[in-house]
Amino acid sequence: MYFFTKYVYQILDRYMTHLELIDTIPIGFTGVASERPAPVFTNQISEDVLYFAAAIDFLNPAVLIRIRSVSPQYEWMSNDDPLPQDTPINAIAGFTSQVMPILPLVQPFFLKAQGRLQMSFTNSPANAVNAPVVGGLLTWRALRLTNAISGGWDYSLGFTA
Amino acid sequence: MSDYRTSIVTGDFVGSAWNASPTWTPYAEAIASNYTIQVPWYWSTFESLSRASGAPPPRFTNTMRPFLYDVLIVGASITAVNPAQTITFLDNIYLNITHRETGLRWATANEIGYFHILSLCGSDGFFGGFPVGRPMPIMRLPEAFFLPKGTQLQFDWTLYAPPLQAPVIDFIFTLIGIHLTGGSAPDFITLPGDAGSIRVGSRVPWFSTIPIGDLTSSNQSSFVLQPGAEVTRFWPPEDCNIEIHGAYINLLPNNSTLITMKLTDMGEQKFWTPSRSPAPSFIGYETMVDPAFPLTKPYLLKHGHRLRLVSLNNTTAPLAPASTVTLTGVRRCQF
Repeated sequence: MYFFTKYVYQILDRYMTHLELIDTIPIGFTGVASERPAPVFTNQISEDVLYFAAAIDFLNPAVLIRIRSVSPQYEWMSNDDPLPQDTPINAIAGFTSQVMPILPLVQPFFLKAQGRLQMSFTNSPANAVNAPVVGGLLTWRALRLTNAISGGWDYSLGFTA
Repeated sequence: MSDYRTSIVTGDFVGSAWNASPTWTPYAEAIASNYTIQVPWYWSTFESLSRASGAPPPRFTNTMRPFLYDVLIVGASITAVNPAQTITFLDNIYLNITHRETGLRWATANEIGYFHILSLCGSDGFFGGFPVGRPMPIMRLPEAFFLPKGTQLQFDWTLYAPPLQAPVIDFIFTLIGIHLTGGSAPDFITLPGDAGSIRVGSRVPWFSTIPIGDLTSSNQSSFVLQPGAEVTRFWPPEDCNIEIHGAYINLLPNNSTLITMKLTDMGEQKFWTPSRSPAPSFIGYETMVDPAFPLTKPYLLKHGHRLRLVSLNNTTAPLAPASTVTLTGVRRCQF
């Protein structure tokens, strides 16, 4: 289903086995407007992982998210204004009412074994009709990369077109 | 790629839908192939636009801060984040994007000078306080835009709509792309097929918006097409060849099926529509998966040529004021 760039093929080619990984993380919203719960993390996996797409179990376009990877640390949300604007969740994760309930990333993201994604959420503002989210789950669709060939992929390896 | 007999190789990857995966164009792949580290990149900005009753369209400009790394921008999204507002307010927003260092604009310089935001962005928001899940919250650009490190994009915003329909609009605009490090961009890249070698930066997203109807006052946005009336308008000629990929109209099918249109390439004296065709038969709209509805095949509009649009209002009511049609594509200029 997914479109693989040459970059992704080069990563996949470094592993003999690619296993499905579906990682669901509770966000922990309590229903308070504009609340910012503590950041949540993806589960640590003992193999390298390639993250492809995300889904949420609620529909609320005013929920915001900020993502960074931990080890290595890359900021995905790049706005470097004095007051950075977080990104609406609908630009990251799909919902069941959409054509793609699992919304693919613009490019799959490679994370080394034991690495994690850190996600900071902001709940929606007060709304007389539709209350801010309570609970909330975010699910990542990914591939576990096992049986590495020559040590597998790493950021320092380089890439040949 | 000199005439219509050759294929537009890079245009084989057309469509604004993010779909199951944002298929990259050969141009995007060829640039990204020069970097060893590619990380998802999101740039979001909150904006609030307002327009008083009877006032002319407001103008607002902001810029992106320069980054220390190259970026490849692939998609865009807009979200009406205020639950007290309605997603249809997004219909009133128009934008132009300019790369400040080169002065290259994404919007055609015509009487509007902006393009409709939903011809660029997938959208989400609220209606009557309830969240609305549009089928496709992200749209893919007609071509990836390469933003070299240390350079900036400028965003010119306006509410191109009549008063009363657009009070205050709060929204977050998001660009989606790839943060490129561990390499540097080449001056030239090679594309497959007969496109050959082209300069990086020579393919720029192109949006051209024209109004439907006649100007009824000195207010820039007061275009009206009366019932039974017909109007002819032109997309302006460009100084470069244009690959036209798709078309967008800021009307929904219940308003636009009885609007029939006829398109002609004036330079070639070739019509696209032997008879008039209903607008939704070849022009997309905001609730589609692919709002900038792709043409059967990208059309090469030669530099200096212009397209003519003849619109006929077959309904019994005037067409909604400030109705516009936007063509999307790629501007092909090598400097």
